[in-house]
Amino acid sequence: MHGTFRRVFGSDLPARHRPATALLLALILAAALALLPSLQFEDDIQRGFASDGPNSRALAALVATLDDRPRDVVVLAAGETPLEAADLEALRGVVLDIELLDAVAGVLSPFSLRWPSRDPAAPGVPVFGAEIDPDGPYGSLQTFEADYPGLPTLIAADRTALLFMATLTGGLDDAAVRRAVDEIARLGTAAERPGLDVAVTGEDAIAFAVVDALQTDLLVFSSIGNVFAFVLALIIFRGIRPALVAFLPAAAASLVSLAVYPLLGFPVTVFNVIVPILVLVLAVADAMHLTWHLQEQPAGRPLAERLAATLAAIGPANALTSITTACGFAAIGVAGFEQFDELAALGAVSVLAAYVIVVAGVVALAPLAGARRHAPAGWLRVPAAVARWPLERSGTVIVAAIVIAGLAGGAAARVEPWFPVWQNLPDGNPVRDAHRAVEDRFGGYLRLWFEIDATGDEAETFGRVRAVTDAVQDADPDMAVMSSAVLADWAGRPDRLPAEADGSLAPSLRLQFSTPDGDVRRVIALVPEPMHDRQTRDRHDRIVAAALTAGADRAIGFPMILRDDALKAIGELGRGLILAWLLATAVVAAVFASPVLFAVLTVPNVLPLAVTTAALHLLNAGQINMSAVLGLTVAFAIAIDDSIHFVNRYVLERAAGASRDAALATAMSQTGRVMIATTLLISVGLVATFASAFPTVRLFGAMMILTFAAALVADLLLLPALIRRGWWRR
Amino acid sequence: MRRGAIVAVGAMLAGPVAADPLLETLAGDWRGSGVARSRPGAPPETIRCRIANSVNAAGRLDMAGKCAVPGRSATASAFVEPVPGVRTYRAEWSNPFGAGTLSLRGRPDGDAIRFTFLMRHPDTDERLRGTMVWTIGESSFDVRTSVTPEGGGPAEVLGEMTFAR
Repeated sequence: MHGTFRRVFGSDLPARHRPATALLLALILAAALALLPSLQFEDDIQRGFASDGPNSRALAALVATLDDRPRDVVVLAAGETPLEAADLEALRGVVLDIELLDAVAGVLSPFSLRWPSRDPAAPGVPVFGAEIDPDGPYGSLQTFEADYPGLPTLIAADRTALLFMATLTGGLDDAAVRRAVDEIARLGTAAERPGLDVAVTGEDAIAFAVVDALQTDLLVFSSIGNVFAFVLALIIFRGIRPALVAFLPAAAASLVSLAVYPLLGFPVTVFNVIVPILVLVLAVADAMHLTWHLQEQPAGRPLAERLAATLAAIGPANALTSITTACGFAAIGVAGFEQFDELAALGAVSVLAAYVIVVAGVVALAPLAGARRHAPAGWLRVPAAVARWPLERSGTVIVAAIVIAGLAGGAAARVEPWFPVWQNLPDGNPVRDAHRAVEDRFGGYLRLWFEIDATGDEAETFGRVRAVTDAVQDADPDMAVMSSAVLADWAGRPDRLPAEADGSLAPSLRLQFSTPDGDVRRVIALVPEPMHDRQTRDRHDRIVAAALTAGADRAIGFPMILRDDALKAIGELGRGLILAWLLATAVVAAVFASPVLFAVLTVPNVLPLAVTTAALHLLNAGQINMSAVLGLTVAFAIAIDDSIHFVNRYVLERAAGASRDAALATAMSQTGRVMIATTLLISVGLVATFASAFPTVRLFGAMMILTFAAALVADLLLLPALIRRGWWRR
Repeated sequence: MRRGAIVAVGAMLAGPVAADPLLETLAGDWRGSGVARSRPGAPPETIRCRIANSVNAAGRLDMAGKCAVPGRSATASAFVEPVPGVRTYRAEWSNPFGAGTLSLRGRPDGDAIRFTFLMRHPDTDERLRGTMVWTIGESSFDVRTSVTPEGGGPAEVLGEMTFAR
């Protein structure tokens, strides 16, 4: 390891000034506690998918022309059998009660359907009359559907489900929106009966469910992670005091990582919620290395000397592992997505802060560590038979690795980038279930806008609106489409929108069909998330292509972001993974002043990535999403830590005069034990992510654990085999 | 200080306005449901309202709230005030769904107030004579509105609503 690096990060300064170090730590913790009440949670689900790309900019420009961003609360009533007249009466009562809320501007429901004023038989009459016929509640609706095909009636064809959309009044703050969503959900229960459920969904309802689940995740991760980490430290050290020396600094580092969110002004999101638990397990691993070494020092030496020796031996390696992990996090920032930039900064700052806190914490608590009274747990050591393989059968180990790499690489090449919204929503939440049910039964509720730039000729412009409307309806006859052309059909004037029909529109809806100056006209399709499944994606592509061919100038909306930006993000994160590999490995090679080490470390650290990516065929139906790539990137940056500790020990042994085989054997037996312990510790700590309600977080945890396990095997077998074969000489 | 004392003495000499027991009963928050027609001849539609009533120092009942039919909602407002010296009421009722503001005259009739009003049909401009009856109980009250052509003809119910606290 480079001399300057070793001098700086192996300094005995904290050991010589233990009280001052403890005071500094106390001040940092006090500042962190003061920041915690400012912790915020992400409540904008669109931000998680949006880049600064053309789709996001176009949607932002569109929203700027509206009075306010349309905020809909979607209510789904779904029964096991067709809804009866009494159900419809009860649901209409719910609609009316929702309309009475101050926070609600209007409700679109089957009960607001009316025959057009020009209809000769029933001009302006509601399709559902004041009295709904118990013997034939859908008679009038069937006639309406036959007379006006294409108009969304918001009742499922099999009559078992009904949808209504409450548009909230503009200018509400998030607290008011949350109250409105809760109140709408409460009112909906009035129509429930056994076999008929009423649930809310929509962007805001989803966002609140996500916030609640994130808060639960943080609490659960902290609880489970801390308990697991302490219990494992107890098992490994077989004593409360040394376990506390390893655990408490890590818990403090995790606490400080929580304070980094408000410090940097970032909210907790589905992507960065894993940072505190990661920091906890990484910090426990670092603290364990220090405590382990401290206990190995002769008991008779003064504490300051023992601490100085530990910091000199372990401090640089811990610093290097923290820097490589921070590099891995920082590499995520190349994706150019706001939330990933935040994760990159949060992760990098938290990991580096954790390094400082762990050093200070172990120094402060050092008197508790004592000397080792018990032999290390025997089951932690590398089995003797396995330990011989890299030395005695290095060629076989390398060939086996090549075969595994070939198989894993082939499988990894066949994973498909894919990321549906529902994977970002908490499991078992009625909001998510309703979201999926609306997509399955009604074709979705997300607005896909097609904009048409008006020409000076109104008839020609309306003709293009008509052409785009027809093209979208032809591309998917089941899709709900709204435009001035649809209204014109309803009003009985297909050639133009009659003034009275235009005048009957709510101003907020009129703005959605046209900018105030009339320069841009819009056709709106209510669609599912495009990445729901392959069929939905193909249909989305077909609709967009049809609209653009028919004369639309642009396709805009959250569905466009989901279709394009999410996949782009996965690709960009892939670049981040490559950058993480280059950065982290180059840093290690530079610190050890050995360019060849770059290639030697690449082999055992990239192989686990191929294995884990291949495992996506089992873990996630062969699909790779943003969380999976994030997991690979962060796992790589952490997994290389074991390589660093192994190489560090090997170099120290060689410097002490040991032969290559003896140095490898010592590194495997001594560092190998710690590598097993820390991998076990980190993996067990990350098991907490399996308690998350978010499939993405669980996948992230699984990817990390799998990568660590594969990396451990590679570091204990392949890395020494490569060194044994002379790939790297020291 | 002196000016304040004069105002206070003046108020005492004027004495409190006797509270109208029927209007007092209507004070508070109410939710109503029933059916209503936007105009004579239109089909009946389900309607719900929520109103907050208050009686001021002059004994006037002010009503404010929101009414909704499927697909539309609007603010609703009204007031009823006793006419001093005679057992009658003066009222204004703003129909949120089309017929505009109505001026009404009313008389107590047991536990009810019977209002009458004149209006024009929004489409035909025909003059109509209307009746609005408020039947008031302790925890609920009903409002029934009907119209007949001024020149004679059958009565048509415009709305029937029951309010409860």
